[in-house]
Amino acid sequence: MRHVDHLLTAYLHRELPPHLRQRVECHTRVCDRCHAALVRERELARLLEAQMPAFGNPRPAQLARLLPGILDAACPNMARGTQAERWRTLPGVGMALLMLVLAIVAPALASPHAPGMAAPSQPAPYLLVATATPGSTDGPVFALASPTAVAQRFETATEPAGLDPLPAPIAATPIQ
Amino acid sequence: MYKAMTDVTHMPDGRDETGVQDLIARCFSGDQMAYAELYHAYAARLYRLAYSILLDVQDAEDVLQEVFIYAFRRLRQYDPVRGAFRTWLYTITVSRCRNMRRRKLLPLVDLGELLNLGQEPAGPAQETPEAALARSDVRDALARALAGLSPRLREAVALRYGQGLTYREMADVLDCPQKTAESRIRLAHAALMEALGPVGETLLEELWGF
Repeated sequence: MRHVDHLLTAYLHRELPPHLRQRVECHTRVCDRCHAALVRERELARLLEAQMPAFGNPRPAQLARLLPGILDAACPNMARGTQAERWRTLPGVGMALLMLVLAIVAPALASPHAPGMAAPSQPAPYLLVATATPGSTDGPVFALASPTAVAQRFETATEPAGLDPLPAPIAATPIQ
Repeated sequence: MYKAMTDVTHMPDGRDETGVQDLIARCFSGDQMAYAELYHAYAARLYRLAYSILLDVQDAEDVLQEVFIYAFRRLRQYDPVRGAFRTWLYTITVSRCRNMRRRKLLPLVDLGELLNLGQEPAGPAQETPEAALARSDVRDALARALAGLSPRLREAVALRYGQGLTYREMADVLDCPQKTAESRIRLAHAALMEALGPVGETLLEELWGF
């Protein structure tokens, strides 16, 4: 009588061909040793079938944490859609840049011999003018006056008879 | 090398191989959601496979990342005529686990970490504290016994009991003859019974008694 220990695991897993399966069944009916071995094997298989499918189950958050890195590494051209969005916005950005360049270059192209554009004239600052009235005990009177007004005043002013000419302005140069 | 499971196999979410092919086709068209769907369909079982072989959380996560990066980059190399998609993924996973083992010595297993890892397997709804304790004791004993197996035997147990593969499918994933896959399972059974010993028998009686 040949024992069938070596066939028991495959028998439990239904991996034996029919003739070997029959041999195991016939033998374990009459052999206490192999029957006991079959019982132990069956118990172990039940234990493994019950426990192993859940052995090392990951947490959902654990798997979710790994996904972005995998996608970044495996599919860099589609990294979370940002690349696609960049490509979608590119024509708009390009158009804006083109219009900016045209706005700068177009005037020069339109009249190539035109003089360079002068900087806008800046109004001269107001002048601090000091005048003194003859005979007054007060000091000179300081006032702000526009350069145009000062020039007109000096051009149109007529000296009253018997009076000393107006003194020159204390400060007649533009304030730097 | 992957040949098995050419019949209609089912993804964890119930999608069959046709559904997988549709997903892969969407990946080829640049649909990023399809990549995410493929990941979510297979990540948990591939992680469990890697963890059952390596018994280390960080290593299992590293392998999982390597597997999906490799698979997504070489998706066009997958040939459905040669086998099911999940067989291809299992083959890559086992290969990466072996590489990981080669890169580093298998660390001493922190049993506390090992046993408290992840979600607990769902127990009976009306489980008594005694039954829960018995289940926990069985899991502890099983974890110790698994840690004592050689890596090749642990691969076989993980594929057979963790993933439900047949001997033929195991042989394809492990790249070995079917007889070798069968003998590895038989040797693993013998080693586990010896490791569990009388303690295991008592625990089993307690477990099934509740």
